[in-house]
Amino acid sequence: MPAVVHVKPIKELYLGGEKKKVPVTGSGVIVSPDGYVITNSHVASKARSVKCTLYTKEDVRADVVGVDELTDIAVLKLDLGQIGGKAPYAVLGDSDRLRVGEWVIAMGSPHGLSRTVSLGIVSATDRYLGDEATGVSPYYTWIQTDAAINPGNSGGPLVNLRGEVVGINSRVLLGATGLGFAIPINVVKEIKEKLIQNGMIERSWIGVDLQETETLPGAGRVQGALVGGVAERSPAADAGLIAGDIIVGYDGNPVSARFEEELSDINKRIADTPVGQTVEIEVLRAGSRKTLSVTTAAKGEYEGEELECAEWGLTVRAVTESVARQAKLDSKMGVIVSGTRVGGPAANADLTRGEIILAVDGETITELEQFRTVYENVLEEEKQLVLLDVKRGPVTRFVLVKRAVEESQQEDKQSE
Amino acid sequence: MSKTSTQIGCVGRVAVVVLTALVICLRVPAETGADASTFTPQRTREIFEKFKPALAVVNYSIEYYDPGRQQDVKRDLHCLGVVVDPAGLVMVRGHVSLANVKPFNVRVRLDSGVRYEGTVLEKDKRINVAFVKLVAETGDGSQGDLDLPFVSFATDPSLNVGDEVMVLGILPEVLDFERTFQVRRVASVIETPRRVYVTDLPVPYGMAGGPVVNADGAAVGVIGYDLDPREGGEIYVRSGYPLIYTADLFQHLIDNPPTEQKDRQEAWLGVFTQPLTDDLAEYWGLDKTGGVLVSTVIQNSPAERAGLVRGDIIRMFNGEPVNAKERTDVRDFTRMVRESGVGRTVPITVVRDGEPVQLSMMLEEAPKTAAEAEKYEDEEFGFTVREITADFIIVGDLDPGIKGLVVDRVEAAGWASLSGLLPGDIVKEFGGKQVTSIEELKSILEEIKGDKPKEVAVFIERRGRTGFLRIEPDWDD
Repeated sequence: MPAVVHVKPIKELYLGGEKKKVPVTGSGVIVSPDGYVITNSHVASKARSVKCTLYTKEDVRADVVGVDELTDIAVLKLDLGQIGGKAPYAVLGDSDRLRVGEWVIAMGSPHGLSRTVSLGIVSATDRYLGDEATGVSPYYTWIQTDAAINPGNSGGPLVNLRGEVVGINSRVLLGATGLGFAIPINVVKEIKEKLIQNGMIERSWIGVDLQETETLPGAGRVQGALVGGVAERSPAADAGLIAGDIIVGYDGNPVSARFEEELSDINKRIADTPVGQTVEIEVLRAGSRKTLSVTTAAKGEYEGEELECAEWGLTVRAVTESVARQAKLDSKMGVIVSGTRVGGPAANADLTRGEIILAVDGETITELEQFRTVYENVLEEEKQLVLLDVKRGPVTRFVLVKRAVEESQQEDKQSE
Repeated sequence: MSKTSTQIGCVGRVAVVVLTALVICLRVPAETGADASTFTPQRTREIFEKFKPALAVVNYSIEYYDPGRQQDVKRDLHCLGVVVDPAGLVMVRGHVSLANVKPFNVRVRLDSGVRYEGTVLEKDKRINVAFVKLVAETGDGSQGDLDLPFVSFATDPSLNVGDEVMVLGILPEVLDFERTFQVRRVASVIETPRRVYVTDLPVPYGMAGGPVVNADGAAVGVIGYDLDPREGGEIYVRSGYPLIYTADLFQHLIDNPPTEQKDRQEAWLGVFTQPLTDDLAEYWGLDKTGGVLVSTVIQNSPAERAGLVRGDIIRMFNGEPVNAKERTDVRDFTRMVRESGVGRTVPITVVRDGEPVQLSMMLEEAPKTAAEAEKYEDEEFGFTVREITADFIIVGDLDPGIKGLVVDRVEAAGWASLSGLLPGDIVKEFGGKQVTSIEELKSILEEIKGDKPKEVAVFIERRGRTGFLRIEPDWDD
């Protein structure tokens, strides 16, 4: 219990077309004597500064060592100089040995109520919530518990009766009670090490959507994973994989996902393959076996970086591979509007969230940094009207951004 | 396919302030002095008695699909009808014939108490009125000629702000649909996209479609409401305000009633457009005389064949100047195109890179929309599919060559629904066989129904991603 901390990051978020500071509250657990803290990435991401309240009620500053959005894990480092160089820390258990029905204790700061403890049992150990579209990790199955977990518990430990941390509490089911979800600690251990070493996690991507073989009549008894779809311009497409293939071997090892709970295993094996490595994939197609070679690519960023264009009352985000694919762009280009400020020039020009800016005054936008340069040049030249080529769905339209008139009015007043 | 769970991070100490708008309703008392009103008690009674026999109550049933409940819903409704032709033509509010709703079981009761069955005629897109044709039944079941009391409208209605008008209609069902009237004053005139009038005070719902009578005792129009394009209307005024549609907007429909058959033949260009605002004209250094700016040219469209490119500004179309500066002006242009006549070749003048360019374009019939697509319902599997239409491809930004059928609806708890099939999914394969047409699907389904397999695989596309679904038919059910 002394190792549990109340995490209070100040996030820098881009809301309503402006950069804003937002305080949030979550939980965390100290896992080493030198002050490494585990919490959720959704608690610590985008935080400019983090303060942690220890069990002793002392506030200690912390740095964000690394965040991994895809597993929802973040590592912080406490500034132990403030409290004499030592911190109490928790022992990490083995989540593979966790049994359904076992007693567990959740600790954290639900709704900001720090040092809260609640008791329950492990309700399930293999809950698959993998759907990348919702940002839930497809790489592991979750521990489900009926120990009371509420907003603010995020990042806090789930502990067994031997006092070992077996999971990190992260999610609840909307509108339900007694249905909390924790990330297994064995997953956390692996990610923690990588984050401490590199500050980020590199993953491979081949561009397949996998489904359990049970979906396909007659294929249920086959040991493998069903390819539901192959992304265009992906390594899997290049290698000749097609929807309906059943992957029976990956890099020399058998694959088995008859039920969806088993999909996390193959998803993780693909992600953990070193980027750029060529692996043999054995597939079953129309009853015969085929071996295909796939060279993995780096999995694109989960979310692009953001930029505020204050003069236009606009925030934009870099276009990632997945955004480009969704928007049916031929390649990664442009920037995506993430917000507009009410009453600002961008909002007055009818720009809305989700639209992609492809060109500014005829100059094609290739990426975020170049957009920043173009934007700054436009401001410097004090142009009154700026023409944007904007795409939403199938339509590309012309949008004229008019320079804000407030400043010139103010100048007029001053000169009077 | 997706379980909804939520992150449990908590935004700390942020007070949520909900602003409750205080809505103040001002009720302006109507003038009651006899000399202040054009409509004296005597005059009012005369007008009321004159028009009352032509007022009818139209009872009808509708059937529509409720996507939320995943099932067809039937409802009984009624509205006011006005006999506009003695041979049995009744004009009603256009809501009777919405694009996605099918009216049936239409019964019309006249003020005399006589009842008739009727059929709803095809609704004109431009104005939100619909027509019911009465079926005259004689004692021996043969068709008879009708000679009913009717309202004939003044062809040159002149209404001005401040004019008083009488609106006739019916009371609610609890008051036995008794005929009634109210007096209103014209308070505003809306000019675009066509001239309509707005009254000073709301009009009860039972008067929607009711005749509007001027001080001379002449019927000049009816009370109407505009419709959303999705509901089959052309323009949309979400105000909910009753409007006065003057007779010049619909008299031609009374003279030549629409048929029951759909007779479309509308032309299209195949472009997305926006108005050339003064700001855009200034940016490009062009005259500020307006125009229609082509923002996107649809692949394989008449516009593409005619050589229109993105950025062209249409200044002349078929010899008519195009001066759009606002969105409503673009709608006028769209209407002009639609009505220009399929099969004709028309000249177009565009401004490209500051220079005028002459093009000529062959007008083609607008492609079928999803609402008009051929559909097929399979009751056993519990789903309805329709052909992929051009609008579905354009809106979904899909590959123009895409093959398959679109799921139009699924029956709640049906075999298809239980497998996870959703409206909007594109069925690409059924039972392992490619599906490119409704005929093909029908024969695949026939074969499956003969074999009665325990499982059937369906290969679908949803939001740009593909995947398999497994249908487990319960053949003994």
